[in-house]
Amino acid sequence: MNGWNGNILEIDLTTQTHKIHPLDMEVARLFLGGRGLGARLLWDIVGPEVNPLSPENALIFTTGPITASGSQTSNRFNVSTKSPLTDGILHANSGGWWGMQFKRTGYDALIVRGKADTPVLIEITGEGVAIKDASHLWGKGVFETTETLDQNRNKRNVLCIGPAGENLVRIAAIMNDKERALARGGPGAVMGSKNLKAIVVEGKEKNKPADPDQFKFMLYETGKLLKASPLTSQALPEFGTAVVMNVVNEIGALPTRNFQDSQFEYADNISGEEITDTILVKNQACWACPITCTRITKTKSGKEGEGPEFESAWAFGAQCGIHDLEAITEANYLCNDMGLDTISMGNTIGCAMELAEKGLIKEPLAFGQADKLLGLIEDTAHRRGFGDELAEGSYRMAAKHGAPELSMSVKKLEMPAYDPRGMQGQGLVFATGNRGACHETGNMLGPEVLALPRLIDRFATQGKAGIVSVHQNSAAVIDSLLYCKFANMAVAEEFFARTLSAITGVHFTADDLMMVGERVWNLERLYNIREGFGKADDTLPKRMLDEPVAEGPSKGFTVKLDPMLEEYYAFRGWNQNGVPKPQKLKELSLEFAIEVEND
Amino acid sequence: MIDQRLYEEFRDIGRDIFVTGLTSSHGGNMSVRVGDKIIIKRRGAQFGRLKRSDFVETSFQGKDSGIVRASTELIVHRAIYEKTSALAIVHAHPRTAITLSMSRDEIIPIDNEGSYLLRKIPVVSVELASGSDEMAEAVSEALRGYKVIMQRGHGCFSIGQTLEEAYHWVSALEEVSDIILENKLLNEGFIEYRKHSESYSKW
Amino acid sequence: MPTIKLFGNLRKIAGVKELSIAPPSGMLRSSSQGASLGGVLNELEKEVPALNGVILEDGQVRPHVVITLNGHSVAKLDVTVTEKDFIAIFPPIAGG
Repeated sequence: MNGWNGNILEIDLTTQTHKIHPLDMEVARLFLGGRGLGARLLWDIVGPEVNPLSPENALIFTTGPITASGSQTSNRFNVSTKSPLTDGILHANSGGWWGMQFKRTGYDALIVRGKADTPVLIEITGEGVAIKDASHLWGKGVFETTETLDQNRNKRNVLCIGPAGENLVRIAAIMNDKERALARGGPGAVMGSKNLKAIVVEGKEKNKPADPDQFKFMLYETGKLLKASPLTSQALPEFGTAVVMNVVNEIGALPTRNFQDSQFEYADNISGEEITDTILVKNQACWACPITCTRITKTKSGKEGEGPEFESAWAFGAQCGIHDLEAITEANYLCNDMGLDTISMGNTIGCAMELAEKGLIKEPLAFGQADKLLGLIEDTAHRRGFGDELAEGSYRMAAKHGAPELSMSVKKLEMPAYDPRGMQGQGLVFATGNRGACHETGNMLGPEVLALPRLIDRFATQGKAGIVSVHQNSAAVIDSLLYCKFANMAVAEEFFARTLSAITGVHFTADDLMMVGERVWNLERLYNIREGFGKADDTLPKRMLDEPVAEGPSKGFTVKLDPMLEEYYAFRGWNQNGVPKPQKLKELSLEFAIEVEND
Repeated sequence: MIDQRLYEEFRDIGRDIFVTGLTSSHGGNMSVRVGDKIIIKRRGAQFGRLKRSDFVETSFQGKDSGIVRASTELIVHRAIYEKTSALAIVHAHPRTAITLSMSRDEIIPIDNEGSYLLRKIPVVSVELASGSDEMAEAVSEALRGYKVIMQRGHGCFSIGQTLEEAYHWVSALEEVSDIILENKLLNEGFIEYRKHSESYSKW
Repeated sequence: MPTIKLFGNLRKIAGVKELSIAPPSGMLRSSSQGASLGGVLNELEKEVPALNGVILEDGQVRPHVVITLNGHSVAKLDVTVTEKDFIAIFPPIAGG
């Protein structure tokens, strides 16, 4: 078999047994792998009666047919589960090396079910599958755990949680290869609830293409385009992802102080340019990637680590009114060590700062207090003092104090670094995101800000629904194929289709891929509908809908969500309540899920 | 129905397409998809002088009053929107590309820009070459794998997220075709400078 | 004179983060009339020769270069610019 290994490993931590069953090739063709395969398996395994932090929830790690093939950025992997933050579908993907190595162990997916009595780790090597005692590691940070388990870049890779996951913090991340993260929606807490500390992999299977000549040609053409594009060959390697801080700020879409403003007067101090000028040591690449966007940085106090990325720099920066790059960077390192989602952590702290300034909580907190960051993050990871409230995420925290509208979140997932009042299409993306307010599932940064591929009017609403839908579908298939979205900035789906065809020997066109994306999007939607989500959840915080931006280029704007949403449902072939029509589901081979809407 | 911004886009691109010789005065058509509707140039409108009244809004499927005035090739546009992720379609009659399509099943660029952007443009052949079911099927199927395709003897269809993108592929196609034709007329051969170009036909 | 802000690698190329450009001589300099954006960019290239061919190519903005005027993206170079305006120029960038 080419591309797919054809096997799924299932481990039951309650009985401490495992079994292997074949990957259904029909499912593989319809969902490819990664996020798509994860959603399909999750649909069968985790229903609405399951509490996300109970043993009945499952952690489903998936790779895809291109993983470990050597094609550019073929290192990523996905986790799917039910989110303890949103109670809806969770999917998250990460780079580094772990995904490539797991694929090399000979499986396409790993399903972890049940709960161990005491802390354990899973080890998958040439010797087989072992479940070992991990009590000596429980309580330890991600960095120490990774080193203790003998992380060795191309040969042996460690995925683990830190204290945050162990303490069931709802915004906890699963970390791999020390500082890569599966973060949004709190998958770390699910892993912690199973008493699973780490999964270590060592493999040797190779992913050989069915058509080696065509594969070599695609490798060459893709490499050519990645090199020719200044985005992937200059901007990202030189300045990292935070290079967009200034442009998002310039146009008035950089959320500041819990989205009270859309410009931050100190944006330049926390930008990619500033990182390169001051704390950058060197850049680094994930496995098989020529883009090299990772930042290896060092602060004046001598701490070294990865990042901060754009979102992290924003979350502890503009969102909290902080411009001390060193403090922001160390907050980022600490989140990595504790195993926390930096976006949710920073956003939640910003929310707490506003609650404090408005007198709704008694914590001595205010915007701009850079010296508070490390303490708050530690307390969150250990659920200590006020940290116990932060650990619940911004929505539950704000709601507890009678002000849920001050949580800048959708479906309880904290909003990332874009003020949708300055980018109408992004507003639609956040409101309709299946995992909540998420920029990775259809980011409109390209078309609305960067003229990628072409500039569209960021304040217009008519016609946005189509572009948003296409971007959401595209992101869904890229996440299922497990390419890096940065490769997509230079290389289009037609390349991915041809590379996939060369690897698997199965013919895929660009639109076959877009259809996979649409299929995955609809299945995730149905999953959430089955969980009880509806049209009322396709919304934005009141501040985005009712409070016009006060100053700057986006002055006077709110998000005009209703007309965009109407057009969006129509475009997607859903009814007026946002439920996919049977006709659409049949088109997408999702008949098995049709029974949901008869409820 | 059609807002000012969208109209101006249609008008400007229509003008560019006509002025650069990519179609005759009344030939070709363009459309965009908005929600579950299609906005398409009406039958008989001049490409280079489009007025607001030259656009028709019609539904995705089924018959409504819109189809009476819409372009004769509405059926092809509908099929494309149904089968692909296109949000905009341009159909033009680029002369050189049409000339080349008469004698080959695929147009393979020899120039650098064309190679980068397109690599290969397939040619589909249809007997009833205007507004037939056969044409709708062949063209929409081909556009699932390519951004721009040729229909032998008739013209090109290109798709994109915006009209500008779809227009770009048409313009690039004709540049590719002109260079191929002129190279042939010059009759001095062709020194290959690209690596792996023999694989373009497998694109 | 309108203020021009430079970002990304333009800063290293130009050696500055921000500068003011006098409109081309011969043009009226009162605040009620301005120069065109294209005119200002041409002057910028003259004053900072290292930026030649980096922002403009054949009189057009190079692909993926983003230029904003007071925070709004501009595509046409004939837009009027006055001394109170802020022009920001971004080289091709991407991130997330």
